[in-house]
Amino acid sequence: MLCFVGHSCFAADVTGNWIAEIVASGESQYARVNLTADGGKLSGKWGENTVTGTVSQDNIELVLTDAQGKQMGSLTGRRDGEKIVGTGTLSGGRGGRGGRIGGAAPGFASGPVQIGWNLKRAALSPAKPQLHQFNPTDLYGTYSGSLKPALTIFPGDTVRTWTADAGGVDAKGVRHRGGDSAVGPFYIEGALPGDTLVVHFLKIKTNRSSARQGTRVNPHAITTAYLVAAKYDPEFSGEWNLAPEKGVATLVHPSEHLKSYSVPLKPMLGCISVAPPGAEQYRGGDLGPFGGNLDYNDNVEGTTIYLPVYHPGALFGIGDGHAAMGDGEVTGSALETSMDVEFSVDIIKDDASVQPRAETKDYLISFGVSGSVPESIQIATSQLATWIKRDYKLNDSEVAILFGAALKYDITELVDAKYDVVAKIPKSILASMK
Amino acid sequence: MFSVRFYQFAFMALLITLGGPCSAQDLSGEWVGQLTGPFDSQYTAQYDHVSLKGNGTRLSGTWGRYVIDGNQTGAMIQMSLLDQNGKAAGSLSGNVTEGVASGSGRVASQRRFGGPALPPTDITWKLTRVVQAPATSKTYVFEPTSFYATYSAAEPPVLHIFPGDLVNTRTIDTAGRDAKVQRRGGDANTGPFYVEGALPGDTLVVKILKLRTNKSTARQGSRFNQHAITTAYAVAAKYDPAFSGEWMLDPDKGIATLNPSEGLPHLTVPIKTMLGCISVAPPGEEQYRATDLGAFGGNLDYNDNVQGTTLYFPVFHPGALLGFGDVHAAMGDGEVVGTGLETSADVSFTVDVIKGYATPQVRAETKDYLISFGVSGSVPESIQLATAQLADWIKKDYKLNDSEIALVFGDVLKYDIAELVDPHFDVVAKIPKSALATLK
Repeated sequence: MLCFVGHSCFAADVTGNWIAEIVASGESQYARVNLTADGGKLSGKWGENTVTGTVSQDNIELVLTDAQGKQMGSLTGRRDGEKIVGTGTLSGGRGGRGGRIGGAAPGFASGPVQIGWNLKRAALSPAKPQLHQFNPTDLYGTYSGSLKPALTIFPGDTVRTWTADAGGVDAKGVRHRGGDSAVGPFYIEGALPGDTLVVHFLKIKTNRSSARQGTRVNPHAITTAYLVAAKYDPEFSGEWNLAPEKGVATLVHPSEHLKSYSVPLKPMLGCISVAPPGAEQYRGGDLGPFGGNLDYNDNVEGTTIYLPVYHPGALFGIGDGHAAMGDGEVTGSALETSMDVEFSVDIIKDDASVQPRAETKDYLISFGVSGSVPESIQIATSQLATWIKRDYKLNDSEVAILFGAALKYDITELVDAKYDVVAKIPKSILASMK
Repeated sequence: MFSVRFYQFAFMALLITLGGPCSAQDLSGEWVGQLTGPFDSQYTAQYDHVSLKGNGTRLSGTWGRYVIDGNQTGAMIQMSLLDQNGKAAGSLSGNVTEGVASGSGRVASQRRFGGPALPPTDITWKLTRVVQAPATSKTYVFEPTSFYATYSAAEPPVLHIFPGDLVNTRTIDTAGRDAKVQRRGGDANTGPFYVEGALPGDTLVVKILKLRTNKSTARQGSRFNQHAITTAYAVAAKYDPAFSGEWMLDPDKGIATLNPSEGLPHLTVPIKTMLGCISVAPPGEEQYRATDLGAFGGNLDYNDNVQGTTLYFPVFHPGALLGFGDVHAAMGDGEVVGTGLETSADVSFTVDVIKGYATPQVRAETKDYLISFGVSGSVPESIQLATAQLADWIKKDYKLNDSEIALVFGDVLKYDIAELVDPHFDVVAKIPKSALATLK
């Protein structure tokens, strides 16, 4: 009797949305799974595959088939508390995302591999989006999927928080961990590898009156001859006074020729990231497809940024506020200061670009981060072309001529561990196309 | 052949025969000095602005950056050249006849950066009077009858103009299409214009007063150049061989409209007419095809070389030899499809000369920015050249030290990627004039 009750309960339980983790060779992939139980029979979706199967007592058996009806996997499992855990074989690397299971690398046949798997209930969003006031107590200085989230939020939620400057100093002058350290990471429920994390920056404002800047040109930005001839004043001060009410920054100890010099404030976040792929770990000053120290001077209030997700929850973080910055960050740092930041998040499921993208009032923007400026140009251009082609249903000739007529580039980062170039296209031109 | 020295000798003998001091010709005034000698394989002549003042038998003045200490006896001239430290840098002797002074001598050799000290160079020299500009500037309507497609000092000038003159002319498009003249493709240029008074080491200033498209169509490439996209993208791209790439231009409305395709039924872009090519003759005996670019300018393809922009070129030959062409009705950064919206335009410009100052590469000024071009074989080097030249320029003009200019660049520097697809790469570094306005 007890057994019968247990059986029917589990069968009914199986119905609903799950997150599958598929493990092979020590790497995890993830898939969205939807199951419907009808008596002892199961049907539904596992990532892009169709699922059929049976459930009896605590045991479950699943068969995965692709759109062409080809069998892609055979899985058996059993209930383990709130989870379902099992083993099986899986082909093609299409059962989930985030790794290379099943030989998805180009040029390799995708034969079946032995896997372990588990299903965990997908978290349910609260009825209404939440506003989180997040007061960081610790900053992190390494981009990594192994970090413990500081706060878990849902798509639609808004977070109000602050960032310290690149050296870890907050608005009150308290020193935290430095080295382009970040606030977070924020775990976004529902974000899986292969998704895109969407972050709307509702507010990025300086929250103290001081900033500091480097005063020597980085060797990547200048010729060797210039570098050799340059005579820098060791006493020269790069300390700034910020006056947000006037919208300008002025030097605290101006030299003779810079007594009246002022710079318009354009507060930006230098570092915006998700956790990098797999077990990769990078210091806070680095950058890559996961974002990081992108140092783009249009990552300002009002900008929306799109980041490819590599780990469940994305593990989003921000830091390295600049009150203003020239292109390329040629002095190795900009007007480094702390910020009050407010952002909301969203997820685009099952779609991710190769590197970060962004959108401002005027432009659609693609980042290209790599080991050289020429490669960064190529990556940024190609990613933007792929994006616009798809969203505006253009063929290769059409996107080429559009870019030839209206593309813009920005050189954002010349002085960090990698180079960052932005390709962008005016929204006004895109609006004329339809 | 008798040597110059022989003639000097003969002339001296003649003077002596005449037995009295002739009334010495007054050499005071502005001259063009030419030194000819084995300086370098491609620099057999050097030119300088020379200013002379005669006072009795004494001659003083300047020869380029040298000070002249000399004397004049009748038609005979002796000059010592002194450098800024008063050190002897050359001695010239010769005579003056029919308003031209010439002779021989030796000058200190330019020591190459890092190279050995060289012995003095034997040279011949010549002074010719500066061509006097007319009292008032002229306005020319220049109707080109031919176009040139090789940047070279050997290209004969089509018109001599003076600083301050205004020229109204036109260009053909990059393919050489034009209703009126014989076709000459490959970024063919209008000119060259010989600017009187411009010498090597000067800066030629060209202000584009008017630049307006003069036909109703433009053509554009519709395939990405491989420098602008990844190899993976280039391999995967499926281009439509029948794709038109033809634009209709409406300069009154200020827009260009693409010949419709299925995905782009209404693509319009604002017209922003620019000169893709603008150049002076390259140094020495160098010759480049018109699609190339370098320190002399050429196919810079910068989409802010528009009406209202002023360009500054280092001058490498007397007269500078200014030319331009390759008009684009609009162009995205980097010219990623290998062309802009290629068309022709009516052009009006004036010229000026900044004497005795030149930067390594081209500079420009728009309403909002001071601009430095960096042309080289790679984008990273172009970035460095553009940044360094801009820093040197602003430092000099605003009397900033290295720390000050570094700080300013860290705050407000902007880059544009102008040219990715031609034989050299072109990156622009620029600084907003609004930021400079707050500097003293």
